[in-house]
Amino acid sequence: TDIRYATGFAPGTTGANTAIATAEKLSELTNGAMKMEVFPQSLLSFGEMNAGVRDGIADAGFVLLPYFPAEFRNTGMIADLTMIFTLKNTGDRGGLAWTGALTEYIMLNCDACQAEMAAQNQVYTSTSATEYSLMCTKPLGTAEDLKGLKIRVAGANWSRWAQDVGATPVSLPQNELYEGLSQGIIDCTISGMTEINDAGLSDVLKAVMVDVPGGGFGGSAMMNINRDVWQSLSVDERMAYAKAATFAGAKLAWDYRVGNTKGRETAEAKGIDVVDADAALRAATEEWIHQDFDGIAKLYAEKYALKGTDESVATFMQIFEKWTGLVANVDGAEALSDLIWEQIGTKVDFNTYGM
Amino acid sequence: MVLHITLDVASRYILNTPLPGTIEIVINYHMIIIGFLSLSFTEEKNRNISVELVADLLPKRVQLRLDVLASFVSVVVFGFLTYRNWVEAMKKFDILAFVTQGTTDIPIWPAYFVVPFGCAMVCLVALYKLICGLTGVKSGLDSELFDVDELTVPGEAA
Amino acid sequence: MSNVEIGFSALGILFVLLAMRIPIGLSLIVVSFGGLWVLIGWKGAYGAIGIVPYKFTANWVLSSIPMFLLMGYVAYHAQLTKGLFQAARVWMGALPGGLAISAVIGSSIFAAVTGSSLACTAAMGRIAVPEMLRSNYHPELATGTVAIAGTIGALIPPSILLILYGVIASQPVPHLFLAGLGVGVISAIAYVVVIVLRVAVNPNIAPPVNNDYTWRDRFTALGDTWPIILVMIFIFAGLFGGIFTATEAGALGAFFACIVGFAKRTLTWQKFRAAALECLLTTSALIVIGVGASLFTRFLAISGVGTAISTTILGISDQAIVILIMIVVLYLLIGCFLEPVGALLLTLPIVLPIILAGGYDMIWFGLLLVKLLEIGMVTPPIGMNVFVMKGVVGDQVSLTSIFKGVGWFIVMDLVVVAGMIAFPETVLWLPNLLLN
Ligand code: NA
Ligand code: NA
Repeated sequence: TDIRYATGFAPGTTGANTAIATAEKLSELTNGAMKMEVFPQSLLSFGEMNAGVRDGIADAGFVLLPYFPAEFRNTGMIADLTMIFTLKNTGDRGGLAWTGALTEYIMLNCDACQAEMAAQNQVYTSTSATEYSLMCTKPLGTAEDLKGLKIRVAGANWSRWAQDVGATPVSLPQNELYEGLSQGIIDCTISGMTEINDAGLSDVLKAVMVDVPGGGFGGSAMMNINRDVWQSLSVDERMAYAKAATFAGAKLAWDYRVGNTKGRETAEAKGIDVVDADAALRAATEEWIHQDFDGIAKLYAEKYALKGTDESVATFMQIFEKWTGLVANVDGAEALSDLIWEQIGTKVDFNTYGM
Repeated sequence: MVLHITLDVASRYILNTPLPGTIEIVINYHMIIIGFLSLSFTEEKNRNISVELVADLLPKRVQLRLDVLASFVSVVVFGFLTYRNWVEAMKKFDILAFVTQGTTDIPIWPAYFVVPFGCAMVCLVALYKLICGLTGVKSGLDSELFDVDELTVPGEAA
Repeated sequence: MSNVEIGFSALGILFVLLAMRIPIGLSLIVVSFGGLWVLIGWKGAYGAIGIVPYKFTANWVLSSIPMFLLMGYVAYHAQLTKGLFQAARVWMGALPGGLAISAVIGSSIFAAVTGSSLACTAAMGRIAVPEMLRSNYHPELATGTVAIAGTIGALIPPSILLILYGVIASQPVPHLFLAGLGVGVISAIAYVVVIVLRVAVNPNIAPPVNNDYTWRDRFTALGDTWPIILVMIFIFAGLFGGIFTATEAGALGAFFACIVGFAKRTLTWQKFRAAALECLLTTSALIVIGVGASLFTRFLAISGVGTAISTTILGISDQAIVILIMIVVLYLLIGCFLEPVGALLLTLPIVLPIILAGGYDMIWFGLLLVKLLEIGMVTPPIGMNVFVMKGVVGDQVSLTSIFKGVGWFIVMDLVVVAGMIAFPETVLWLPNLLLN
């Protein structure tokens, strides 16, 4: 069986290389019976990915759920909760914990999420997540420093936070990050520290604040597969695909963690201040996050007509808490992959899942 | 669109606050409207870029037949695009598709209907040209542009 | 049939449709849809044509195109160019071939407010050519100079071709623009050299003109160029000085050109309407081809034809120079027959994989490509700039004479192209200096 897999990442990037490694994994798991052909950027862009996988232009693809807020309302609400990294002080393991937690939540705990995947003619199989930091061309550290900054944000949670601290949230395409910072269109971006190397931000940045506001990118459905294609596979093939997808999520999460560490090293070597917030700002932020979480459940219930949002948020928080413990000593992509499979994959019935 | 972006930049420098959602509105509304609503004029004014080389060598009579063929292809393709993009627009309408900018949601589903509407207009213009071509009736379409003289050549963006 | 064979068959059908004068965009859509249907089934093909038209068009980088177009058309219709040639001739008229040199300089400056080579030729042709003919310049020199100088319009930013290349090849537009500024200026200097040499060899083709201007005249003449210089400085300073992005530069440039035009009372509502309509028509014609090319790219990717062609071509020789010469010759040939936008969008899906696999710098290649396509604007049998020139001069000069007139300039362009290949760093010098 051949799977056409599309990703919006350009050839040669961490994202595209993970996809190629996953193709090798799938081939290895099935002794060459299943093959996956990877199309980095050449078949579907991220903006086209949902409809592209839905309509079968690709058999499977990297769907960024927050790009399609109307289609993925339930999953989107959970993706809005990544500020939990800051509350739980997960440091550079927040992304790893999220990778396991969101996968467990969607695959085992959220019927509404499953339903909205089905409505898009897709089957969900894995996630990868990473932590974001506040990176600016101005000095950072206190609440006062944040006032009046134009901050590029990639999600509604950071927009709300930026407005709360007296900054202005700005949206800017990812590929204009360098231009935007160097030309003063934005003062800051909230992105992974891996961009310090990948987008060459080290010449323009002055300071990076690691813990505040924190959060991360937590809304990827990395290996979503077209439902018709999924149902045409045998049960063994479905299980093999899911196993490879688990590996994909774990590997990308781990590689981003490594990328963030390297980005931090570059920043420190170039004399960029890598700081934590002062105690007052830190406390104020935690207070704000608590309030915001209460608001999220209410917001999604009212605005998007979702049911049982309080329970959903509570369930997810519990699962996340469990995963912060599980990933504390994980030492590599394979180990994380094995852990996720043992915790989740082995509990899924592939005779019925997504059928 | 020019005004919108100008205001955005002005607001950013004068008030230090960009207009929220400029990028999303520009690409989802301005661009889609510019691109698809003027499409039928492009068809009417015969401004689609084509390769003239081989056809120019053929006798005039054959060239006219080719024009009819081009209109026919245009009717079929844009007819199909109209139907297909209508279906797509309805999908966006069913979920009331929006994008999130900062803390506000900007509905984008209406923009999706511009595409089938624009394609349908092209289809009609092409159908009219096809009927004129087949029956030999002179087309009443104004394929000339007013007072734009020598700038008016296909592919002038180059 | 294997996927690659299906891909090549589709390429064959595409050529047939194009030869039958089916518009390029339509041909691409038909072939890609049919090809996808065969390769991945009805559902995938049906899906693709519902997704691509919207998603291709709703693009932030692409959105700068209508704005740069509007700016160019407004500048043209508001006659912001008028003082340009006069000022250049007052300063340069004393040199051998001074009027021709003035036309090159005028075109280079007008290039900074228009994205296209045709607009540049049309604008300068109306002003400079009659004056040169009156001064007994050889018609071949007069028309050839303006036709070739127009090509600078697509090199010096803004440039519609460079933006399109940036969209398709995912390359940053400011880098492309800065590299284009360098190549544009080098080309302009090269054309001036050709004029000086030709006049030195045969002074009869450009008799000296009456040139008793005082310094006072010279500065007065500069005064008439202020509108365009103002718009130019505004855009360049904003774009490269770190104030706004390419799309914003387009919007502000168009806005500013309108303000200047209305203030000078050279822009009327009727002219503005004409400019806006031109902008709309050109944009949607571009979008149809763009949607077709975008579908075609995906079809080629799935069929594996792109990889097959690039493997074959890169396998011909392990010498980079051989591959590059093949690409140069190919584009010179294509340029003889196709106009640049069509040629660019039609061929990039096939050529980009070769360039990627060959490890060439993508900014540099973008400039090489645009330079080659612009040479195509003046080569027979289809040379759009020459046709525009012919439209300006009417019966006074024959088409053949104009084509002959650009001959020496084309030779010089080939030298410039050779220089770009031999010393890629000269192309990348400006963007590296200012943006990295
Ligand atoms: Na230009
Ligand atoms: Na030509």
